[in-house]
Amino acid sequence: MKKRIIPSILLQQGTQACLSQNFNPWRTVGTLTQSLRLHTRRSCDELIILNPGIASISDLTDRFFNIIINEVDIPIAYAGGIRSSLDAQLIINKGFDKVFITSAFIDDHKILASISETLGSQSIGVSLPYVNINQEYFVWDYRLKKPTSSSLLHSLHDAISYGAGEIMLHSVHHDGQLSGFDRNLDSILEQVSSPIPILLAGGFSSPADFRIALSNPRINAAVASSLFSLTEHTPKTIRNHCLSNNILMRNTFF
Amino acid sequence: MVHQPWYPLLGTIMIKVIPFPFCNMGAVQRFLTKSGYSFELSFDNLNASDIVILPGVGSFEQGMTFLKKSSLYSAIQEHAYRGGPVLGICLGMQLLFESSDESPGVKGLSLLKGKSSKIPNHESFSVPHIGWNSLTIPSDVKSTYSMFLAHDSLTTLADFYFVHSYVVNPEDSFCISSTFSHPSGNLCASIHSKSIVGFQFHPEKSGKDGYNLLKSTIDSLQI
Repeated sequence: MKKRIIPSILLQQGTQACLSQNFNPWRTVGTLTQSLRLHTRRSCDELIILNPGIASISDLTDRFFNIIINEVDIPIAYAGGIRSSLDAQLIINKGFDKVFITSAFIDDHKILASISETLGSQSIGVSLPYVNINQEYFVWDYRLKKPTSSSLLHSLHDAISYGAGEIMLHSVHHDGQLSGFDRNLDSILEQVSSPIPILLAGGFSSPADFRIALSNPRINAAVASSLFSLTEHTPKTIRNHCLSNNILMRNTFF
Repeated sequence: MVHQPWYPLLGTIMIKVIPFPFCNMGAVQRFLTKSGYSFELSFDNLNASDIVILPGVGSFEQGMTFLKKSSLYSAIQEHAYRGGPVLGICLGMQLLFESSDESPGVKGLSLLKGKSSKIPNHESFSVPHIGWNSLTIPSDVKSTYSMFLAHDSLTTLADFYFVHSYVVNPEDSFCISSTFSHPSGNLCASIHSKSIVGFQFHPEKSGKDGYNLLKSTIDSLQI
């Protein structure tokens, strides 16, 4: 399988794109439209919209969906405010290809099963923010701004058994730091027996980071945000770096 | 409601898109609008020359339940039996066949013989199959069956976006117009039989390469 480079766009107040540090929004970098144009023009493989501050998807406007449809001709996923399979259906029907859930999964794993049965596992992912406390990994709850009592490995297994098609592991401590990704996850990843696609997010700071992460056979995609806004690196330059290091990446003709 | 571009139409193709309530309709509509095609989400006055598109996403049972409840099941079958062009994308391609292991006991449109089964598990191949992959044109395929792919160099140089857990196994292997690589052997990535075309991948989400492939396919399907 080809490895993927996925810019994430964190939304605030509707359609403002911003960067976060340790899961706290800290700097606006433009609008959603500008970000989508920038990333697609720079030849990213996919996009993820993160909208954790939204209470319900009924708060999403037609303008928001029109921006997505008008600007994007590559795969795009959405996360934020999804509480049911009906919510997920609406998001996909309006132009997204996949959805990710976090809070709904933390509250009730059956919501994940319901979405997976309705849309198929390939359309539903689980995003698991996590923190490392004394060498133990725990899922982190964005709403409470603190770790849950659920171990990351246990939640990962639950996500797989309840029908997730992809899992995004997002290090809260590394988020937005541009200090390198979490290289200590091997012990967790080695215990995942299912060959489910795993996305890694948080801290990517250089093409070498992507090369090292994507060289791991258990990691299918690297998700980053600050790097693409605050440095000269683009998905295309990073992909070329990975290709030159014999990592299978997407080819384009046009 | 007919969606028509403001600029002159490319020929007189009318495209009817199956309005699945759970699929990525927006992406298909975007392609059709940006490419200048006239399309409808309604099946009134279906003509033999109309191109029927079945978009992807969802489970096999859900797709068939919707087609039966909305009376589109027989309309699509009759259209195909009359030689009308049909284009299935992802789940839409799987629905063209007889059944799927995803939904045992649920009958598909049965326009082509065969069924979908789960992508074989393998430690070096993640399932669901999500991401970009390259296509291979089978060497033994009849040239007319791969007309949309073999003569188009972009398909041998570009990658396309896949997102699926099940894969079609056509009884007639000659209808396979391209495959993708799997450790257990090549699996079906697209089919073409007479006026029926199916893509397991999503050309409407594969950037410019996908748009070019989809456009050349639709233009070739004109009667």
